[in-house]
Amino acid sequence: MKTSGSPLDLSPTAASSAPAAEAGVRADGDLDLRRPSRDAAHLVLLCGFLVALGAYLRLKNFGFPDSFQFDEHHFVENARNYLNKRPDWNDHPPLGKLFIAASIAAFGDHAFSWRLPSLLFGIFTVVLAGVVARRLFHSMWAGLFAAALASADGFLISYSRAALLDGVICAMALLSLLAATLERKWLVLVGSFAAGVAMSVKFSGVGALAAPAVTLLCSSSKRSTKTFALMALGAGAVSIYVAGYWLGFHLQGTPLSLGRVAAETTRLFAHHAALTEMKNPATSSWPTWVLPSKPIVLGSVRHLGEIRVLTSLGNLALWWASWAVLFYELASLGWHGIEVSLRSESRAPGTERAASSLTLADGRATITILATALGFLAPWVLSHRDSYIYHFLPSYGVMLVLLAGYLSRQLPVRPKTVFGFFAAATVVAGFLGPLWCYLPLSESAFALRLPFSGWR
Amino acid sequence: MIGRVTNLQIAIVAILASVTLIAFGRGTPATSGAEYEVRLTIVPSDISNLDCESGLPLNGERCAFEANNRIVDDEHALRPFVSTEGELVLLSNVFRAPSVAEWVRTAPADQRIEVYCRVRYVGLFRRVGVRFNANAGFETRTNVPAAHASGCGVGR
Repeated sequence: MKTSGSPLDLSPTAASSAPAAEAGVRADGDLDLRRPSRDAAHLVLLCGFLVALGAYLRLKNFGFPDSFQFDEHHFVENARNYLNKRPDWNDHPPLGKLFIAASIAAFGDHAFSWRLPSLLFGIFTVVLAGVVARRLFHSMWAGLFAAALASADGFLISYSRAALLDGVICAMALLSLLAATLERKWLVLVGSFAAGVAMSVKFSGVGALAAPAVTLLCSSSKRSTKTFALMALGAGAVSIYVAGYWLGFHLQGTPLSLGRVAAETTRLFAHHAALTEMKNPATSSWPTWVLPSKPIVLGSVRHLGEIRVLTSLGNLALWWASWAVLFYELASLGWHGIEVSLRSESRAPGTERAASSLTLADGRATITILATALGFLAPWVLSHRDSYIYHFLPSYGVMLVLLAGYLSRQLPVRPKTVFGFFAAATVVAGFLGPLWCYLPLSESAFALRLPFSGWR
Repeated sequence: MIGRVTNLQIAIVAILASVTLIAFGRGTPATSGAEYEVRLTIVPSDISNLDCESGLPLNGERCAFEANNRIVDDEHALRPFVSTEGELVLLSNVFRAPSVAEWVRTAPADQRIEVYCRVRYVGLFRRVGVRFNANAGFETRTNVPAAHASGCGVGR
């Protein structure tokens, strides 16, 4: 399996046997961006293109259409309600709508400002994915890969272009992962902030507690220290949640009381718990998210033989790869056990053992990511609550970080495969890209890209 | 053979393929002579309120006005409509369809109905003036598609 001498030779052997300026990789096999080798530069070029393409697809036709798409009316209408001191009739906590209200107050009531918060959180997601992967896997390659993957995926792009709330939760999921890389005090602060914001947008945001909580539980601190830190984490998240309601009540001119927050929370929770019929045509059960069998067309405009579409269908190369890595790492964790994985962190890249499984090479990071991905999936797996593919968005963002870590570990031993994967992802992004930004398509080009009725 | 392919070549091919698919791989949205179905809503007064202004004919179809002067009989001229999909389109012959003409003659002034038309695409006006009220001035719009309605029916 050794690939020394291959066109993309980034193995530690190659790095140490050639002058550093030529190899372009550090002694530990990671990328040296200050002096990238020619081979490394080509991979950086491909990743850079994916980041640039993602930026283009997020900004092209941004603000189109100037009417509501998918569920935007729920959130924009209630953002207006907050600005006009009227009650919020939506069934989610206030914060997501308050972001939209702030944008409308700052830039006016039009499609651009409705969707601006989603765009900003979408950009934040790409940056966070890069930073989080870099910190979790101690690898510049992992950071670069994660930013490229998050940038060039249609699921994330479409939620950067719509006044919907799930992109905020995805960003907070990644922020909670970042918290897991910080020292305990900052872990609690950033973790509780991420979880509090996510919960204040939708109840399912509670999954953002998983990463900081698992990190605290797996730490070598004393039991009393862990208990105190976990309590502080929960209290911080709840404080942010109450603060979100306080802001909403304040804008509506209603006095704040903790009893009212509790009553509203109970009412909304009971409402959501009763939504179990799966009758809405857009619903999809969580096992179908692997395919996916029912991505949601967030908006479409047909007109004289041309169609413009915004779909939540992701980049299928990344989609299936991220699921494959998730299942593989879960199986590996089950096979080797959590304790072995926790002990075997930070194995040197470029070795067969490191490349075989992330749970062995970066056990702690992998367990944290898996816990976060599963934490956000748990409400839909464990209950019969109506589910939609957008409930998978936070898990998916986290799974892309896992995929990036896996690819960075594979790079030294299977460079051609990794390079080929990024080339394939680039072509798929070009093929599906028009569906992620309302570029006009002919009917036949549309049918070619979305051949299944469940995708349209 | 594959061993001779460099990573730079793979990267360039992937990037070019991606750019080409986005820029040129989206099919031809509409070609002259192609037929489509368009849905509109109309009120009886539209027959006297909807007009466009352009001196340039497009494959035999033209607006009723040029530089604010009527040059074509209303019955044969293109008129602006906003489809139920929210897109502006210039159509001729809508009010000449028998079922539509009959409805316009008999319907109450405030009644609105949906009209389905089979249309033949004639081209794109790069720049055209449109108005939706006979007493209003023309507003300039760009890249507006135009089509000839070969058959229309009211409210299915």
